[in-house]
Amino acid sequence: MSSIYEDSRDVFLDTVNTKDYIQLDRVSLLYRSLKESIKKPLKMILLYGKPGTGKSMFLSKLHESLSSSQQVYLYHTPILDESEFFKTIAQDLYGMEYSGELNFTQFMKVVQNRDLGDSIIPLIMLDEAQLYSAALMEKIRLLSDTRKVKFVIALHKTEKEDLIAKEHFQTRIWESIKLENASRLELKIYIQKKLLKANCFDTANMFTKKSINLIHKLTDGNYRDTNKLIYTLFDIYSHYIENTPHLINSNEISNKYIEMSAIHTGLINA
Amino acid sequence: MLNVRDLEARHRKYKLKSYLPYFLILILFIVSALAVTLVNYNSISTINLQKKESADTTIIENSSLAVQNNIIKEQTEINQTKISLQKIASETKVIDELKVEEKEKEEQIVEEKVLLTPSLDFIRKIQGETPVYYNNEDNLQAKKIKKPKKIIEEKRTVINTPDIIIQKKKEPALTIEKKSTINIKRKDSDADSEIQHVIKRFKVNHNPALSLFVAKKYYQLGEYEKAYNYALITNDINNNIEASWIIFAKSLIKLNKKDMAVKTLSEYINHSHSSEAKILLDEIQSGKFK
Repeated sequence: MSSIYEDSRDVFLDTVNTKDYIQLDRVSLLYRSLKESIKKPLKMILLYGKPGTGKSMFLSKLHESLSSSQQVYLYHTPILDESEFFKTIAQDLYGMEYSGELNFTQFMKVVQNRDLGDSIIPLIMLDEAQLYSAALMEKIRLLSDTRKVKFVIALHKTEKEDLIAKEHFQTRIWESIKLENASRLELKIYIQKKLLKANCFDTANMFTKKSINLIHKLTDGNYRDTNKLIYTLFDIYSHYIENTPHLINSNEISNKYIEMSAIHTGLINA
Repeated sequence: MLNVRDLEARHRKYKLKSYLPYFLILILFIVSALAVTLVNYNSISTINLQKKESADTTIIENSSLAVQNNIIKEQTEINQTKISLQKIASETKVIDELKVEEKEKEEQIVEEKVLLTPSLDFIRKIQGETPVYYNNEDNLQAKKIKKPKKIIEEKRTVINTPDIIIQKKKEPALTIEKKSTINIKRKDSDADSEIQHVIKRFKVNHNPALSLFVAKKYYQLGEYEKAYNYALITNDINNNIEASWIIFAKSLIKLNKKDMAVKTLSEYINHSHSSEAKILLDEIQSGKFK
């Protein structure tokens, strides 16, 4: 029994792995929409949403999906230095290695002089784009205006991010996709699909409507918080099954343990 | 690594915190409910108390009114009885006064008679048979006495519950009245039954007037021994009745006990200074009364 809880626990490790991607109806719809947008002659696509709504996973899944058919590059971590940013993109897009400095003007010349022919416009996906400076974001906009490269920018939707979205990219971004937290039903499907994918049928059946409601109440449907919570939950179960197995009810998830997990993860301030 | 014990403790605190508002609300609800019930109870109790007080006051007023009415009734009854008693007392006083006057007049008459007529046989006969003031129908004083008796009878009908003392006081008058009528109207054959009836009454109430009546009756019938006995009984009950001592002495004379009669009369005269007893003693000693 202890291995089941440990296996279930490991399913909810907070990692971005496309194998763990869960196909939900609404997310699938958005995914298809994004894919359609990429095919369009758009210069920039904005993907935004609260932290933990699945933006990174979304980009990862898209990258995995598109990498076989076109040039697509995903940068999970922002490259904050401007020269380093241009040098990295030049190397990935064109295989050009620069030992010295590469400023924006030099890189613009390189991009403009490139002849793409019949090939698809390469796609650069920038995750955590809210960390980029406004100046660099403006230069990214200018690069997209050359129509030699497309950008998918994923960022948190904050006031600052709103500002970026509206002021700097309003006229140029033709498509913006918003990712939201899961509903109760989506959360249940998400959790159970995740467990079933890892062959944790017993633990998947332990989640009742009551426990899902409590989890949704605590996490507000946020995937990252849900992952953290359920990871801790199964960690607690693993502890009890080792020390005091008579306290475990294997038929359903105990709300007490859910609350304990929430306390541990900081979702409950106790 | 999870510290499950710490988590459990924190969870316990969290649950207590989460239940605290509900607990406080429950306490507030209970307190407010209790307060409301207490207020209602107090208001009800005050209303009841007020009702009770009003009822009590009405009852008290009623009872006080009833008591007052009773007191007034009792007072009126007492006043009536007092008035009646006063009237009776005044009447008895009047009777006594009349008796005294009568006696004085009798004495005067006797003296006058003694003065006018030396023969005392007539007077002796009168005295021996009946009390002088009742027996002499021609006497004007007897008429005067009869009027207060009528008043007493009227009072008896009014009062309905006269005191025993009053009855006792009245009985001699009645018996005397009866006696006077019996002596005049009834025959000697009826005397025995009447004496027996009086004896029965005497045995019940031991009234000396009744025993004196019996003694006098027996003396009239010539049964001197019985007359002696009843006179003796009367003297035992009340040794200040003049007529009883006279009957007692006369009976002794008739029983041929002159010395004893003289001695007894002498002692009685020394004690009471009775003029009638003196007359009888003189007659015995002079041999006029045999």
